[in-house]
Amino acid sequence: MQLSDDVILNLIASACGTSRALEEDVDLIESGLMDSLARITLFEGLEDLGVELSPTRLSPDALRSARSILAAVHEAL
Amino acid sequence: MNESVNWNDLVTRCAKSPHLPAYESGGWGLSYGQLLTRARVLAAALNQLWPGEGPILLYGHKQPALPVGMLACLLAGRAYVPCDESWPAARVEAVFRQAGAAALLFADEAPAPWPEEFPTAPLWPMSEPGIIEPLAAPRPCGPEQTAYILFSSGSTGQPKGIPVPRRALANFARWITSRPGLTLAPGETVVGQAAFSFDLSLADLTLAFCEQGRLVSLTRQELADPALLFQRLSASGAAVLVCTPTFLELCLCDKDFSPALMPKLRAVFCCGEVLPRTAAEKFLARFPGASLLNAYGPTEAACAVCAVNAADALLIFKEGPLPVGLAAEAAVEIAVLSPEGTVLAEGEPGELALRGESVFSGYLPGSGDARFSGGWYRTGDSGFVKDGHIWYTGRLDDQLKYCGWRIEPGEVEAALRTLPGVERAAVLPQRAPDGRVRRICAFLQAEESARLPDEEARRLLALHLPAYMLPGRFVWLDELPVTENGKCDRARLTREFLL
Repeated sequence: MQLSDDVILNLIASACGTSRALEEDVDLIESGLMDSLARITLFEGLEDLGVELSPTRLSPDALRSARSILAAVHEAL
Repeated sequence: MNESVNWNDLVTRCAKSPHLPAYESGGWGLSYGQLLTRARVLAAALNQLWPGEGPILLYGHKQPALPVGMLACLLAGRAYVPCDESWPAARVEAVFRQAGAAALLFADEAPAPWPEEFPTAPLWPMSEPGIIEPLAAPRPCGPEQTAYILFSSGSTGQPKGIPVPRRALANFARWITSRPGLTLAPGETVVGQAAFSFDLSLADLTLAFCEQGRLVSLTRQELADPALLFQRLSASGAAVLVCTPTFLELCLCDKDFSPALMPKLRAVFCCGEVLPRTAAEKFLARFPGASLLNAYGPTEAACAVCAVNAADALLIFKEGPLPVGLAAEAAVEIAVLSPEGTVLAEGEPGELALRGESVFSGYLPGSGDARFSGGWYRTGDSGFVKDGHIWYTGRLDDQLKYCGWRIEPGEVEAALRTLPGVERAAVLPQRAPDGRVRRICAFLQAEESARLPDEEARRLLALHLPAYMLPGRFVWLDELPVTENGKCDRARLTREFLL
C-alpha cells in the first residue's frame, strides 16, 4: 500500500502533541513526549492506517525518535 | 463498629496455608508462611526500636520486603506510608516530616541525600527470623486508627497527606472481595500494575491477601518493556488483573494480548481514571469470557467505592461515556450535591459526594481541609446519577488526572518557580479529543537569555517532583498573559497553545 512518510510524521507529531517530536535531536522517551497516551494514539492511529505494528515485537529503542518509528513502520509494510 | 477484616483471622488463615505463594515480583517471591513470619518479626522490632504509634515510611518499589513491611505495620498497630524509590529524596523527606514518621525502612537503599537525624533501617534484615521474638498477636486497634497514609499531589506546593483509617480499609476489603469474578481461590493469581504509593495497589494486595491468593506485582522494568511485560503476564497464569485503563489500552494495542496469552483471565478491575467506551468494547471482544469492572473512588475513600460491569453498561447505555458504578452496590452512600450542599435528584449534574465507612476523616495537618457537608465528603468530582448508575464527568477544580495519577497544577507550578530565571509559571493540561489529559504543559515567564533547554528544566524539576508530574511540554514566554484581575489568563493560554 502507499502510505507517505508525511502521514506517519503527522501522526507522530499529533500523538506527541507537538511538532518538536519530529526534530532530529529529540529523544521522545527521555523528553516525556512518548508517554503512555502518546503510544496508544500512535499504535491506534497506525492501525487505522492499516499498519500493524506490534509493541512487543519492536526493539526497545524503536520509539525513541520519529526516524526510528518511520523505520519500524517501513519494515512492517 | 467492629472491623470486618479481623487481623487475627488473617494471621490464622495465613498460618494454615504457609506453603501457598503469597507474593512475587521481579523474580523474587514469598510464601504465606514467610510473609507472616517476617511480618511478625518486623512488627516486634518496630515496637522495640521505635515505641509508640509513629507512622513508618516504607521506601522501595515492588520488592517482597514491602508487603512484609505493610503487614508488619498493620499487626503492630502502626500506619505505613509507601514511598516509591523513583521519588526524589526531597519529596520523601517532605513526606517523612509531614507524616511525623518514626522511621524510614528501605527495601534496597535509603534515599540520598537523607538527613542524618531521621532514623532509617533496611527492611529485609530487620524481618529476618531469629533476630527477635516475633509479635505474638496483632496489637488491638480502634477502627479510627490510621491504617496507611498516602501522599498525592498538593495544591499548596507540598504533597498532600491522606490518612486512611482501619475501618475504611476493612470496608474496602469487604466490598472488593465480594465483587463478582474478583474473589480468588487460595493459590489463584492476581496481577497488579500499580506502585504501592498509588492506592490502586490496595485492590490487588487486598484481593490476594484476604483470600490466600498469589499477587504478581509488575515491576517498572516490566512495565517499560512490552515484550518483557507480556512474558510476565503469560507466565503469571493470572485469573484477575488490576490496572488503570491506560495500561489496559496499551496492552490492547498489541494483538497478542488475548486469551492465548492469558488463558485463565476471568476479570479485570480498572480504576484510577476514565475507561473509554472503545477500550471496554475492544477488551470484551478480545476476551469474550472475561468480565471488565469499571470502578471509581478517590484515595480519601480507600481506593474505590463503586464499580459497574462494563459489558452490562454497554448493553444498557448504547452510546456515550460509561458509568463508573452502581449506586446500590457501592461500598458507601453516593449522592450528587449542589454547590449549596443539597442532595440533587437523579439526572441532575453536581458534585459527587460520599458518606460511609470507607471515607476518611480529614487530611494530615498542613495538607489543607477536607470538604465535608452535612456528613458528606465532597470529592471535587463532577457527575450525576441516572437509572441507579453513577457517572463521573470531570473535576470542579484544577486537579488533573494523568494516567491515573492525581496532579495539582499548584504543586508543579511551585517547582517550576524554583528554576533559575523563571519569574512566573502556569501549568495547564493538553487534552485529547475525549477530554483526557494527554500531557502536562508548563508555561514559563523568563527573560530570553535565562531560558533553559527543556531537558535541563526536566532534570532540575526531577529533583523535586516524581516522574509522572514532570511536564511533557515547556512553553517559554516573555510574559504570561493576565486577566483583568491580574491572574494568569489560563483560558487564553489554552486557546493559543493547546487547542
